[in-house]
Amino acid sequence: MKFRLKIWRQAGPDQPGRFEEYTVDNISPDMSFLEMLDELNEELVRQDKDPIAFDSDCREGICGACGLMINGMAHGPKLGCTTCELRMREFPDGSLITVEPFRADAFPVIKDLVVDRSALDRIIAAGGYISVNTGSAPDANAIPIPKEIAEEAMDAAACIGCGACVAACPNASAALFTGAKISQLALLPQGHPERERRVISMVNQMDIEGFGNCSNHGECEAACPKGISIVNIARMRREYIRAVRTGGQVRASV
Amino acid sequence: MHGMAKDVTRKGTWQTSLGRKVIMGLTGILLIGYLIIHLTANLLVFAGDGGRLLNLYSHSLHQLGPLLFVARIALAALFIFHIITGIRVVIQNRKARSTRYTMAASKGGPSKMTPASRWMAITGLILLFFVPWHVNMFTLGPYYETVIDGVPMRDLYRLVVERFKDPAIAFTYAAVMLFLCMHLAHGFWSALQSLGALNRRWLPVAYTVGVILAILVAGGFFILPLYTYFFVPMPA
Repeated sequence: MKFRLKIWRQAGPDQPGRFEEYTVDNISPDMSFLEMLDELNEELVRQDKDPIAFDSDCREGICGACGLMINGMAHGPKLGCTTCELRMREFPDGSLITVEPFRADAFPVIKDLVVDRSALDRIIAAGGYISVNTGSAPDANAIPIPKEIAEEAMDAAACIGCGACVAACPNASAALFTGAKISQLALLPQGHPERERRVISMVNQMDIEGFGNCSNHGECEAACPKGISIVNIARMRREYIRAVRTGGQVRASV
Repeated sequence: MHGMAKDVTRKGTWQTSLGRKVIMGLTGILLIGYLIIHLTANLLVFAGDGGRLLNLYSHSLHQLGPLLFVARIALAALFIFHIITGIRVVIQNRKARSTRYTMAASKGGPSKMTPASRWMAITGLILLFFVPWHVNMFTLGPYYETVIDGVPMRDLYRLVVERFKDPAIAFTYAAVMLFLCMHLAHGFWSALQSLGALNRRWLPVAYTVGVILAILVAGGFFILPLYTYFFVPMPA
């Protein structure tokens, strides 16, 4: 297969960026999008040019490192799929593909298609954990939890923190990410003792990082490679309203 | 650079990204509730009784005296609160992505992104201009008098019919109602979602109910001026 590529090039964080056009040929339809970029980079290196910088790690859709805006869609056109798992057969032969970095002021560009997503880490650091002594693993059935609840918590925990929700949101909101991280703990008894402090701290941190407000477009759920539902955003809001109403401020400062 | 977690003031307020959406949702739902009452009363124009019921309803409202004043202040407060919070939300959203995408598309699937959801600020702005215009035209319009059952009262019906006999007014009013339809189609379910009221079972229900409600409410207000323009005779 043959493709024309329009790729965002930016030398550094404070440098102006621009699109550059490339052509790739002899691409196997079974290649992943990142393997196609690898081929292009090999060619750029042969020509003694600067290869295109992009993030990747596991290349099996579980780490959350990769993430590109492909033809205006986070992780490309296929639902429930990361960029590394996206195959070139999803694109018509000979077509023009536009590739941009995830754009949000909270995700500053480092180089080309690589953005700094540590804002998400800081949201986790603000409260996305439980404070317990983690001795040996407890018996799995020590705390009975209904299967439906366990499944719901597990679905929220499927978040790999890739930031596609932020990238796809017209407001660059991190509500789905934060909602998933709050939900996975709010659903389980281990998460309950610190629930007020957690939701207030994480929501505050989300705002400090400069993410937008959630307008309920639901585009994040479509972009999420793990298909995490916006019901987790509703749950985060319930947690937040509860925390504000029950004076989470007081309990949080203890 | 951004502050670390330890700098976070652990204060729960309604002036966060989540709190503001709670305000938007709550004021929005209450405004929808008002619209339903407003429409139900306006449908009395269709009664075909020469405006008897509409005028009696309007008269009974004015009999409330100071209570009506309080209700009007409350309604204006809801409206203003909704607008100011909405403006703050939009400003923050624009700041959150100062470099726009060259290409942006919906991925489809479970996405609920529609022109209705994308144009909330624009449809809201149109309604912001519409509301004072129509209040000025009707509530603050000329005072015609009529006598029903021996009681002198305002002939609001005559004013409404007179205004809607002007094609410019009737068609502008109807056109704005199409934007109201869009605003409500996203607004209803979005308000409930912002209030954290939805889960896996109720989210799709609320979405569908919102679309039906938008068509019914905006549809009622849409038909009213056109029906009056084409079919209602001018009172003698």
